[in-house]
Amino acid sequence: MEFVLKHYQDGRFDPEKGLKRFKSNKRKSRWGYYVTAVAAAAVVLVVLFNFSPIFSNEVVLIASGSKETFILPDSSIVTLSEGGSLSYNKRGFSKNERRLFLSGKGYFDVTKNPSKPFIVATENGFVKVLGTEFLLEDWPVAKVYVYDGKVLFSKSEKSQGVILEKGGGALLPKGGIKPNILEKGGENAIAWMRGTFVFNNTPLKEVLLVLGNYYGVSFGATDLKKRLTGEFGTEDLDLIITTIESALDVKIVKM
Amino acid sequence: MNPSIDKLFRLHYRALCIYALHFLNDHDAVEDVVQESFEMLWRRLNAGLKVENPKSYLYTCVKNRCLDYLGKSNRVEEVGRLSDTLCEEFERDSEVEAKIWGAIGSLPPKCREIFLMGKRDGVKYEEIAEELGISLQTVKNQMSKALTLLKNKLTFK
Repeated sequence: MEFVLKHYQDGRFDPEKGLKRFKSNKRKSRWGYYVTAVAAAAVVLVVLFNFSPIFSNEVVLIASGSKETFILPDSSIVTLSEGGSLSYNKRGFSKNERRLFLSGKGYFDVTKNPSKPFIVATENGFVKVLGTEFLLEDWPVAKVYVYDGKVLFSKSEKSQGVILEKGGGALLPKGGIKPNILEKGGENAIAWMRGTFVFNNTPLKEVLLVLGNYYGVSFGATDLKKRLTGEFGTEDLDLIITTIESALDVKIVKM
Repeated sequence: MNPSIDKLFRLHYRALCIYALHFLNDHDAVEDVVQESFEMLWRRLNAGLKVENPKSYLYTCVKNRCLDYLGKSNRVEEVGRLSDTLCEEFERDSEVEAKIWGAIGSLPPKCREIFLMGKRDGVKYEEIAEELGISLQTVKNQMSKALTLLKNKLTFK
């Protein structure tokens, strides 16, 4: 009683007001999105349900806004980039193996469990791990970077693959069968997740390629051979450009 | 939208706020923390993840966020002071306290004002009478009315 009396304020902590705030609070767009998604999914499920009951066990995670982080039933953590989706079978997951299907871009922090391999398949590539952190992209080509541990990367479950360790990366060229090793690029491949670009004595040409890929623009500059070291937040491209211009004394133009 | 979130709000929102108030002592921060915790739960449910016990999920979430908040504002000694048993005590108390809070809120306005002046702010009955321009007897009547109403509300449930 004393505690309540000490802190009581009229009209505070009202559940209805709280609920109203929760519903309206900057989540409006997302509500709408989810509601339509759920409605559409419900229609599909109803249709599928009549033909194959297995589909009712399919779980689909979608990053609707920007990136979104999910926790899987085995406590592994996945961060999906905007528009990315991940699906798995609720019943099958973690029975003998942890099998997922990815579309888009996902960063995985996998809970170690050697007896249940963690497998992510995409349209174009296939990754099998025992416990690690890695990035898998399936577009425009399947690409993997490993940030901790070890993964096996191949075109499909049966084709010959490469083993990648911490710091390593590889991509599967369109129509190719065996992955090509990537020497660099891992740092900035997860800029979307970390919210920063990291450059370490990187030639300006490469810097602009990284930025161009990220924002979908092309650049020209007065001296592409100069080198840049530093970290930049991903929110404001113009700020990054002006900072680089003054740091390296160059002129950069968007083309 | 998920109907169970509405239900969870109605059942636990106030108690969670009061629970958080035991840690934070800041009404605005408390409501933010509870809102965020509901959002986390909601996102989990929306992602198709199962939450075995939404209530205990919410309490854990609120606690962790409060501790984060305290940690951020460099009040480490307060975090250290909070043992698990104490947290459990807060959790138990806050449900009862939420009922008391709700009962006070539902008193007739004049009655509530007098009750709060007397019991919360520690104003003497004579001073209340003077400040509100009513007789001392009215203050006493309202006060006993408030106490009776509260007692009825809290013992019935």
